[in-house]
Amino acid sequence: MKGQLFTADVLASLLIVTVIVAYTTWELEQVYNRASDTEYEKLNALANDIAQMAVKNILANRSGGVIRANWIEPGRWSLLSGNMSEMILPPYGYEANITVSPASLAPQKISSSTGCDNTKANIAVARRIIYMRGATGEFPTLTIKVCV
Amino acid sequence: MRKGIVFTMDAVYALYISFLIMSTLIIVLEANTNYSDDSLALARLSRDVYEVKKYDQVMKLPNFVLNGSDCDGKSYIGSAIVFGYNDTANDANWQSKSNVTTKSEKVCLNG
Repeated sequence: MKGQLFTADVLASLLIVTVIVAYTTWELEQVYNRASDTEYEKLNALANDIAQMAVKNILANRSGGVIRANWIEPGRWSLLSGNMSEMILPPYGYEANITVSPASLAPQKISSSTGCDNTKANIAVARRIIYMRGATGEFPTLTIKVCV
Repeated sequence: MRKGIVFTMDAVYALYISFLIMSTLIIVLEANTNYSDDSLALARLSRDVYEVKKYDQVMKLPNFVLNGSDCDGKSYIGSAIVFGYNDTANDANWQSKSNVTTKSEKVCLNG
């Protein structure tokens, strides 16, 4: 079948070429987003694993050789600070803090030199429920942020 | 079937259909790989709930998490099953499963 300019074949092949170009563009965009997602997943895994180590071992209360999981000793807070500064190096940043009532029980927030404010491209947050002696109302929360 | 210089209409339709099938497959496979990290985080949170309740039964859970029947109807739920051993039971029954205790905690995110 032939019109003034195009045959049906040309129209059909144009349609296919358009679809291929559109799909390629879409896929390139997906690859870009996926790279960002993959980076987030890495940060998320890192934040979750550090939080796991913190509540089960680094910060955990010890009594008679027994480690009390999720029972946080504020006196061990500096150990977490030291471990995080060794594990997470620039360009990655980190923050760690405890939300507790009364607030006077909360140790000082840990932060890398760059911190994890909203200007960072990718921020992963891990929150864990913990116990601290003297806390009232709600169980305290340990929050670990890792960012780049 | 109508035939041009390069493609028959059959070939065009076949390409179109295979393109649709491939797109659908890619979307379905991508959708299935999204939630593994969240489920691990929820499982860990549920274990946290079990641990902290051992130390204090009165305190409430933080607002960002719900527990037990409050999670009914939620899409993403984490659960921890914790096994214990009751060594105060009669030693003569050591082979019995009655010495083994289980407790489960179910949590989900609020909102």
